[in-house]
Amino acid sequence: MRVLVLRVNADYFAVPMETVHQVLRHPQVTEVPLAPAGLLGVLNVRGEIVPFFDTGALTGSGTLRNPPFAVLLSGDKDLMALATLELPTTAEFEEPVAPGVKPGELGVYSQGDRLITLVNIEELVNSQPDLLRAS
Amino acid sequence: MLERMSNALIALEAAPDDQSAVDAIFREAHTMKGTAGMVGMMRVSHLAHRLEDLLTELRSGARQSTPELTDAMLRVIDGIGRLVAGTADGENGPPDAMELEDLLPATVPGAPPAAATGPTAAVALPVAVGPPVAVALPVAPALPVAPAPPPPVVQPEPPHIADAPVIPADGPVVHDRRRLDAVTLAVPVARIDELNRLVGEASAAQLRVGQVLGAELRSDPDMVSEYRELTKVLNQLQEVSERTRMVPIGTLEPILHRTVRDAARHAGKSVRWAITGDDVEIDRGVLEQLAAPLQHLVRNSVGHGIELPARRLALGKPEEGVVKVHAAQVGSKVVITITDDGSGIDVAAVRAAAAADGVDVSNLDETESLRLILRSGVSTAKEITAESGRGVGLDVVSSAVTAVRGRLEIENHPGSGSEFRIVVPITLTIVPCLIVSVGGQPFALPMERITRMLGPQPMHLMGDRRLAMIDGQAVPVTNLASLIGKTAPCEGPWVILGSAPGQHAFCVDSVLQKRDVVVRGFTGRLRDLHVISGASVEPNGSIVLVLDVMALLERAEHFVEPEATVAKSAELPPKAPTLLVVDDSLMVRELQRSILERAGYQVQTANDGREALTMLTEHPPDLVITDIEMPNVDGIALTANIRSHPRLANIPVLIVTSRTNEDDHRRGLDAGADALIVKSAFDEASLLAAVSRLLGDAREPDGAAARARRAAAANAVSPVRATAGAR
Repeated sequence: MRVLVLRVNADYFAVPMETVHQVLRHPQVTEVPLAPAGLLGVLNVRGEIVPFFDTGALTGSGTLRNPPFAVLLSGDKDLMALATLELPTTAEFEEPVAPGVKPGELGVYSQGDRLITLVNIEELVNSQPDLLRAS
Repeated sequence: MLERMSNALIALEAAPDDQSAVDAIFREAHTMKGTAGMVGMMRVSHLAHRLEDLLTELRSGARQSTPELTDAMLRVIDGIGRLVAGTADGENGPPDAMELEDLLPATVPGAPPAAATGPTAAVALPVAVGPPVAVALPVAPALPVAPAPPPPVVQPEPPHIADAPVIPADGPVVHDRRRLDAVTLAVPVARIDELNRLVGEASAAQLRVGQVLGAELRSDPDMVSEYRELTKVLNQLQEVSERTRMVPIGTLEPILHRTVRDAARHAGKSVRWAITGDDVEIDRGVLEQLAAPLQHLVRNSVGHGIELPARRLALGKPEEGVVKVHAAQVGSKVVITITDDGSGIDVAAVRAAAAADGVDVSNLDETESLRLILRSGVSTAKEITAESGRGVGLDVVSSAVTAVRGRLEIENHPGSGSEFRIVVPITLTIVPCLIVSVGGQPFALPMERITRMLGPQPMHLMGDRRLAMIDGQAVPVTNLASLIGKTAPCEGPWVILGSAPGQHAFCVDSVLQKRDVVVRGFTGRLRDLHVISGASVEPNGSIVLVLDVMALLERAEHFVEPEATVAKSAELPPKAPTLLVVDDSLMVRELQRSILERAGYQVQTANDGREALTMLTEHPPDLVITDIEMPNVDGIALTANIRSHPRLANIPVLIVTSRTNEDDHRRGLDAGADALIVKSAFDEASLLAAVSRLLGDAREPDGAAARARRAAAANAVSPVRATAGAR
């Protein structure tokens, strides 16, 4: 399976390549007042207003501040963007070395000396309603 | 199909001898019977067959059309609709087909059964219900049935391109204009929205091309004929794409007519229904929101307004009452008026009902008393019926109208009727907004919720609340930045939101401009954001969030500001800025003075540039507003003099001129003016926005640098050119 690998603080996560639309460098983020903890803001992507999620908050890896990259993905019904700290890289996954633990985690894969968790982004976002509920 | 049958039945009730109406209903019933049979909906097919039987009797004269027969057939048609949709009938689940059939009268003995006098009837399929069987059925080619798979029976038939003309009793032939003009195509709404979004993107891209022409190629885009042509075509495209969402008000006519008819039958009243202006167009989304409120209002008119026939005759009125709906477009609004010629609203009874509900009515005038009927629980109905009387309807109507940024007005004519007027925007998509800076970020506030704007006012601390006296009312004041989680002092202008007695003042950093905003509502994951109702994508690609005024007011009601901000803001505001207005026209000077003093500024005036220079050296103001064309010293020379004077050089200058010549604008900006407003585009909000913005920039520590930035921006794209390209 071809995947895109995102660095989120000290952890690595991957999403299936077929869900990836685009990687944005230094996206122009509009902050949303009183936004829920998991929402960094919104982006304008060719006229469409797309939520920009804090991948660190969603995965429990620690919140991200001023992430320089946004990965644009297709959810079940709409587009969303995930924050990451480095330019993402591609990889080929074969068999997982461990199962996923939390909702949205599809399995843990090995790439060289690092372990990468493959996630289903729709399930990951939907499993965190508290992080996405406005304050 | 069901709707056409209902409409034709109601038309038949009004004209019982109209054979064409009977034929029309028969054709529909016949088609329904065949199609339902094809897809295995045997109960529906059987009910349609029973309707055919009755219609055959009507055709043959064995039975006459009566209101009771129409009632029964309408109820059966409604029930068929629920059967097909699988929806519940009240609390009892989907309707029972046998119970529906029992509503219909038995066939007249000896009357001919429903024969296949027209197209051959479809042969009923075997009872087993399942996917349609693709076999050759003896269906006459005339039946509008797809070969396979057959569509559900509720799917609309292709539109008729032209209907037979309707010939009124005493007038010329009248074609149904909607039908003749509307060669329509069913298109998913999402596709229309996507089209509108792409048109918006194209306009934004066009503006960026203009900026490249100006900044990179040093070329005035308006001088490039291809750019002008592109602008013109895109403006036309934008206008056409916006109109794709528009539908005529007359779309609601059948349902409103049916509501009046049913309400009248239920109440034993005789009511004539009329609608005019039904071709006025309105945004589809707005009309959908208004369907239920309009139904309620017409139902109320019949139930509470129109008197019983005997009573009307005793009052010298015609036995038949009238309920009318009239629609008209007024500028960017649509006004829908519902009138009746009934007894009007008993204001004394309304006051009594409200008082019984605990409302203090002692100081209410006539208009305020009338609006009590919009309160939940207030009803003067002597009995509760299935139709009305619980006092929960008009408050819902009022809320629904408010939700589409409209307003509900009431006029009462005791003894001769009442009038309810709904005023709504033509479209929810384009909203006039005030763009304000809050905590350093621009936000849009819908104009219809803004009562007024003021400069900072003296405040009083009461506990943890701040209040200001405005027009004799104590109005609470809140720092909008603090309310939405940002940090900024409460030192800028005030925007008053809501209407008395629920007004609330919010201080903002500055007022940037007033303009129309193309609002996209938030859906999906962004749907539940507090205080944000949508957003707009600007031509430069940035996003401006639209604040939800009702949510702001609700949040402000219980908001306690951080102590430090309250303590600082409780001090008296700094002295109001002084503005010098320079114009040789007395009327213009006084108009601008009036606007600016109402907004809390101190204003001096001068007749021309020479007088202004004398006043400037004696008492330098905080900002100069000047015309260009004046005797002695004109506005451009005045501006140049200000810039060359060491003590006056940093005073912001705003030119307000009637000249539309680009060269004059360029000369004014080159002389050192900070901004320019053309009088033809002048309005109060634009003037106040420009003044607020310039005063805000002037208060920056490095005011000269800010002016240099503005001048550079003004040289790149002037406000006049930007406006022309935006649509």
